[in-house]
Amino acid sequence: MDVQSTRKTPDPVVRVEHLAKRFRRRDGSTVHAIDDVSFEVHAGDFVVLLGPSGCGKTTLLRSIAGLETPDQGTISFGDRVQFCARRDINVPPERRGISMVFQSYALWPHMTAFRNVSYPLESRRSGRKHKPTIASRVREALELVGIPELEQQYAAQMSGGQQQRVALARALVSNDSLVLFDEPLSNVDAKVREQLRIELLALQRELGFAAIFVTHDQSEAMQLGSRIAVLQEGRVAQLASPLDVYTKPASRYVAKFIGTMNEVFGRVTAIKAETAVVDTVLGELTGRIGAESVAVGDRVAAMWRPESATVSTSDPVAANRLRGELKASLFVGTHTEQVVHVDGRDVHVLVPGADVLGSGSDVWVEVSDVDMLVLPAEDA
Amino acid sequence: MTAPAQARSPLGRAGRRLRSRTPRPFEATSLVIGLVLIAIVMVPLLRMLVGMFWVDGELTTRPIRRTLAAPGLAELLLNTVIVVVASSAIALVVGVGLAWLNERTNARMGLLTDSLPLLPFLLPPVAGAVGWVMLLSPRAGLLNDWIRGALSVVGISVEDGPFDIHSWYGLIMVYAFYAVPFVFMNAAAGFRNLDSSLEEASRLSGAGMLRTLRRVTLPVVAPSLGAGVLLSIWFGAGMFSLPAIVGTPAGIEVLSVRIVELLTFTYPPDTEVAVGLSGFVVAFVGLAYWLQFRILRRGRHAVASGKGGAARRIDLGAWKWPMRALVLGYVLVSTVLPMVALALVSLNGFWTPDIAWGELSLTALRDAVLDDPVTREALANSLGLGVVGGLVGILGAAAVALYVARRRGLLSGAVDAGIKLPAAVSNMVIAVGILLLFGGPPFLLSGTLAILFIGYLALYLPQASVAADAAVSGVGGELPEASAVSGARPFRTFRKVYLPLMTPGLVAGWALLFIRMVGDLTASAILAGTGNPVVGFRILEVFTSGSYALLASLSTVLVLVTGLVLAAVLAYTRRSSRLGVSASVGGV
Repeated sequence: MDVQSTRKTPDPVVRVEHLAKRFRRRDGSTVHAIDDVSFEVHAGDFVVLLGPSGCGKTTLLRSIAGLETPDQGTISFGDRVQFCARRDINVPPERRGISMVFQSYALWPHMTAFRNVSYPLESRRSGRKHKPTIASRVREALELVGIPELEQQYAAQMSGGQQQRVALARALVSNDSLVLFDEPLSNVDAKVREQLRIELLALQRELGFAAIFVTHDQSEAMQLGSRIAVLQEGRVAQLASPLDVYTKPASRYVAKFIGTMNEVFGRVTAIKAETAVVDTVLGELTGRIGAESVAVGDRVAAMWRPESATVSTSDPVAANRLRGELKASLFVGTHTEQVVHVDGRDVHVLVPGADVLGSGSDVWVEVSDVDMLVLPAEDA
Repeated sequence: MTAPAQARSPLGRAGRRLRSRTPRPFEATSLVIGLVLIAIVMVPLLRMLVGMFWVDGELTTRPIRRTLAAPGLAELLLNTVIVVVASSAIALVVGVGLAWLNERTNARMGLLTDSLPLLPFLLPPVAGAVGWVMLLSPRAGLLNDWIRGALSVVGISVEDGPFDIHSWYGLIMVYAFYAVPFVFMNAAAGFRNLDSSLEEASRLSGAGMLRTLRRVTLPVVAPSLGAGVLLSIWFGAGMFSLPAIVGTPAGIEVLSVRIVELLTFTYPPDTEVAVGLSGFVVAFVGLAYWLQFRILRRGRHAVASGKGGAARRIDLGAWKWPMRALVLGYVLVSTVLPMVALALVSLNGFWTPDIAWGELSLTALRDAVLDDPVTREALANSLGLGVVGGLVGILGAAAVALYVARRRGLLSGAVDAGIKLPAAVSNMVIAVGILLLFGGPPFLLSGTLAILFIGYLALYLPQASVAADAAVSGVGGELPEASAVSGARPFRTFRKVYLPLMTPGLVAGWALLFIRMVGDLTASAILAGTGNPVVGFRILEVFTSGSYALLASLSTVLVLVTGLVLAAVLAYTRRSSRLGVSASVGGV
C-alpha cells in the first residue's frame, strides 16, 4: 500500500520525453522546432532554456504550458501525464495547474492589479475559496513582490517594472509547484532587470517552486539557473550546471554560445588518457578532450577562454605556447583586454588589473593543457 | 518509473481531450457563421456573372450583345470614368494635404483636426447631396443667393448663379468631398507610422522641406496613398445617390444611375442590360486594383516602422494659423454648410432663399416625417434594419474574426478573404446579384424586409469584418493564454477576457454598420419598393416627385439620427479608452 516506498526517487515536477514538434514553412519545407527533447525538472530546480532566437526554446515552454500541441512525445507533471501523442492525451492549459509569466506581461487592461492577481484563484476549480481568503492571498502576493500600494491601479497606469511585478504576483498567488517564465525580463531596462533577477531568485528559494525560464541572454542564464539547457535547432545541446556549461561545454556550439572562445582548427595526432595532441597552423597544441567521440586523425577545434591564457615576455612554461606580437591593450578597470597577433590571426587574452606591456612588444601567450579544450570540429 | 495503477488513475480524469485538430463547438459554430456570411455575397455574385450568359435556361450572349448596343453606352462609360478619376485625383491632393498637415506639422488641433475631415465618411452621402442642391441650385440655392446679395452691394447684379450644382464641376466636387475621407484616413495612418528620422536624415542631407516631402515622405507612404485612392475609386464607381441627385438634372448619366433606372424605374425591369452594365463596374474596379498593384510593385517601398519613437512635427512658424484656418475652412464648406442648408430648409417649411428667420419652426419637419404614414413606415423600417442588421453583422463578423485569429491556417485564411471580398466588388453589383437571386423564384423575397436585410448584411460585411478584426486584435494572443494558464476554462476566458476587451470595438463596429444601413441608398434603390420602404428609398421617391422641403426634412432626420448614434457611441468608446481598451468608429 505504501506507494512511496516502492520508488527510489520521487517523481520529478516535470518530465519531458522524446518531445518533437515540426512546423511547415511557406515553401513547403519542415522546420523541427523541437527535435526529440527529453529532460526532467525536480522540486526546487531552476532550469534555464537558453539559445538564440529560433532555437525552439519558447515553443518548448509553450508546449509544457499546453499552449502548443507537440507532434510526438510525452509531458508529465509528477505522476500525471499532461500530454502524450501516442495515447492522444492533451490536457488543456487551464487544467495543468501551473503558472506562467509572459514576455509581454499579458496583464488584462480592464482589470486592476488586484483583479489580475485574484483571477487565478477565482478560476481554479480546486482553488475556489471564499472572498476574504482570496483577498488576503492576493495582498500577500502583492506584498511579496513589493507593490502592495498598487492594488487598485490599472496596467496602463504602471511602469514596465511594476507591471512585471504584478505579472509575477499573478504567477505566484496560486502557489503552484511549477512556474514558467517566457523571457519576462527582456522588456524592462537594465537596472530594473538586475534588481528583478535578484528578487526572483530569492523568491524562488523562499517559496521552493520549480522554475523553467526561457532567455537568450547568457549572463541572465548563468545568474539564475541551477541548471542551464542550451538549445540548438530544437535539440538540447547540453543540460548542466552553469559552471559545467562554462568550463566543460559539450560541443563547440555550446562553448561559443556561452562566453568567448579562442579557437583554432587542426587534426588529432595522439591521444594520451584525457588529453589529445592537436596539429594546428599555430603549431602543436595539447588539451583536455571535451567529447567522447574524439579519436586520432579527427578534425577538431582547440579552444580556450581569453581569461585562462596569460601573456608574458619571459620564457614560457605552460604546455601550450604561442609566439606573437601584442597588437592592442584595452584597460577597462577590472581587467585588461589584450589582442595578440599570432601567425596572422588575432588571439584574445583577458588579464586582471592593468597591463604593463606596451603595444608592439613580442610576447608569449601561454595556456595550460587543462584550460585547452579539444572538441569535434564538425558541429555548429 | 514504477508507477502503480492507482498512481495513473488521475490521468483518466485529467481528460482524454480531443486533439486540437478536432474543431470545438465554439469554432465549428464560428466556421458555419462565416460560411453563411460568405454565401450571402458569393452566391448572388455568381448568379449575376452567370446571368450574363445564361437566361431562361439557355446559354446565350444576348445580355452582352444588348448591353453593348445600349443607347449612349460610350457616353455613359466616359462620364463615369471622368467623374471618378477627376474626383479621386482631387481627393488625393486634398486628402494627402489634410493628412500631412494633421500628422506631420504643428497645425494639428487634437481631436478637432483628427476627426472632422472624416465626418463625410459617416454622414449619409444622400443627405449631403440634397444639402448641396439646396446651397448651389442656380436660382433658389441659398449660397448662390447670399453671394448674389454680396455682389449687389458692390453694384453687380445677376439673375441667377453664379454657381450651378447641376454641372460637371458640381458633380465632381460633391464626389470629391465624399472621397477625401478615404484618402485622408489611409494617408494619416501612413504619416503616423513614418519614422521621422527618415525625414530628418533628408533634411540633414541638405534637402528642404518641400524636397523632403517629395523625395522621402511621399514615396515612403505611397502604399497608403494607393490604398486610399483605390478606395475612392471603388466608392465612386458604385456611388448612386450623388449622381442621381446632383448629376441627373444636369443630364450627366453614370453607370450606377442607369443600372438602377433599368431595374427600378423601367417596366418590366431590364435585368439583362443591368447585369451587363454591372460587369463594366466590376471591370472598372478590377482595373484600378491591377494598376495599383503594378505601380506599387515597381518600387521597393520602405516598410514604415512604427517604432520611430515620438514623431517630431514640422514647425510651420507663421504659417501655422493660416493652415489651421484652411483645414477648418475645408470642414466648414464640405460638411457644415450642407447640413446647415438642410436644417434651414426643413425648419423654414419650403425651399426659398428668403428665409423667414423669425418663423422657423419644427412644424414642417413634423408634417413631413411624423404625420406622413409612408415616411414613418420607412423610418421605422430603416431604424429596425439598422439596429438588427448591425447587431447580426457585427456579432457574426466577431465570431469569424475570433476564429481566424485563433486558428491560422488555409481554411481560416480563405474564410477571412471571403468575408472581405465584397469590399473589392462594387456595392451596386452585389445588390443587383441579390435582387436576381432572392427576388425571383424560389425565394420570392422581392419587396420584403428580408431581402433588404440580406442586402445590407452582404454590402456592409467587409466593414463589419474590419471593425471586428480591430476589436479582436486588441485582445492579443497572450492575454487569453494567461487566462488559460491561470486555470480558466474557455468559456470563462471568453466571458472574462475576450468579451470585456472586445465590447468597445464591437459597439463601435455596430455604430458604423447602423449608420451605413440607415443611410444606404444603393441597396435600397434596388431592393426596396412601396411594399418595403426604407429611408433611402423614400428620399429617392420624394426627390423624383420634386418636394424639396420634404426632401430636406427627411435628410435632416437622417443626419440627426446618425449624429446622435455617433455621438453616443464615441462618448462610450472614449470612456472605455481610459482603461487601455481603444475603439473607433470608422477611424473617428
